[in-house]
Amino acid sequence: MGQSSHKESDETVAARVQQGDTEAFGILVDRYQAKLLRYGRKFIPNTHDIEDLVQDIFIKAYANIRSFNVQMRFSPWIYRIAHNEFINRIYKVKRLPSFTFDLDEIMPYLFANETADQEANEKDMRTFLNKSLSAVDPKYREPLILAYLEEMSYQEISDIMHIPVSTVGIRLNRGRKILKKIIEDMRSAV
Amino acid sequence: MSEQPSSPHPIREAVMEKIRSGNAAIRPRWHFMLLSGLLLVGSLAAFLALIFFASFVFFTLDRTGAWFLPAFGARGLWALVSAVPWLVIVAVIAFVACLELMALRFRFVYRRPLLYSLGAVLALAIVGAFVVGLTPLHDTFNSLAARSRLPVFGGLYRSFGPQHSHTVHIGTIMAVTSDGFTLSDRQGNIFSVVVGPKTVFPSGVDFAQNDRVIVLGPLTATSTIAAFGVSSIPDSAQRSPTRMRGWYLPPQSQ
Repeated sequence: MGQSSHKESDETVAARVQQGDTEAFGILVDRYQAKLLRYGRKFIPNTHDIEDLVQDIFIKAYANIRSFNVQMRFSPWIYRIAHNEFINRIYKVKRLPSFTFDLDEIMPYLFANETADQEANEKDMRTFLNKSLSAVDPKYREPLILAYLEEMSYQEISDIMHIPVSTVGIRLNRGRKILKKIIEDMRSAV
Repeated sequence: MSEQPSSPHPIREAVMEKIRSGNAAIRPRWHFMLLSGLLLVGSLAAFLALIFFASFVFFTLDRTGAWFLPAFGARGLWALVSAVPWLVIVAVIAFVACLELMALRFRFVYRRPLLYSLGAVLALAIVGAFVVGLTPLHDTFNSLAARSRLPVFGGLYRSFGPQHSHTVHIGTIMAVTSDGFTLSDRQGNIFSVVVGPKTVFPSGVDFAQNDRVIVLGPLTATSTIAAFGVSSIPDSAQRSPTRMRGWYLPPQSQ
């Protein structure tokens, strides 16, 4: 199973689990536990029980595996479960209202995907994102994490956060500007 | 990017242990089909309720002649505010929100700005309400409610329907009298309308038998309406060839 599982796509493995091969779920856990732990630590940096949360995410993913459409990508599906779990955790700890009103999600915006020049700065972005994430508003933090650290597309981020694709673009643009400002401030301080 | 979990195995072991021990089980496919079915049924029910209430609002405004009320000035505007079934409008807004929340579970909805889906829901509600408005549904329900023969929605029509406004009356002129005219409404009720020097006539005073008019004024216990204003309703009943000029005519300019 070990050799062949590396050749199998996540979706194929998920299909095996759906058909009753429960042990195959271990492959998905192996593939995603490091990613989800990293995502969780960036998402809610001050929480110590990330491992318990990630364990819950896998249990929920397992329980709901038959709702996964194997024609779609597995990665956004499990990140969506993780997103919900982390959001619930934040609301529970901070006692925030579960519904927020954000103009970015209502209005249509024009946005541009990244250009080659911007891609050249990606490495810088990743480096500084790891260091300066706490300085970024949580609203922009998650799209930045998903785009730069988890390498998700705009559509996948939209599927995970359930926000319009244009809103993803707007938040990434604003998040990048905030990060660039932080980078410039740090460089000028040095 | 190469960050590793501090302890890579415990999570896998814990998850697989729960699965093997039966503490975590895969939900059957029918569970998700049932949820999808409930979502669809819920969306459909919310949509139908939205159309019903939206068309009810249009029906009430239409039957109370709300579109003509601003012509009567401040009193007309106040009558318009009173004629609007605000509670039903709140229900319409609640159903729009409900439908929008359910629609946001679908990828083709949440991937686009909320304004688009909200616009689509509102457009569907308006079109749906217009289509329902072409049917005799509300008229039938309204007359059943008036005779207390409409269960469930009877109270809605009696509390917020056209009858709830006691200052706006629409009907047909049965006969012109010395101090006004007699008016027959849709339900066949006959009222004696009294006009006076302070009565306003936004559409002029050229009234005749069989004209459809809107009358603004309080209804007394004797079925008499002291008219603040009288206006004809455009494209209404056929005008009789013999005009019966009204009362308190403004001075002729020629």
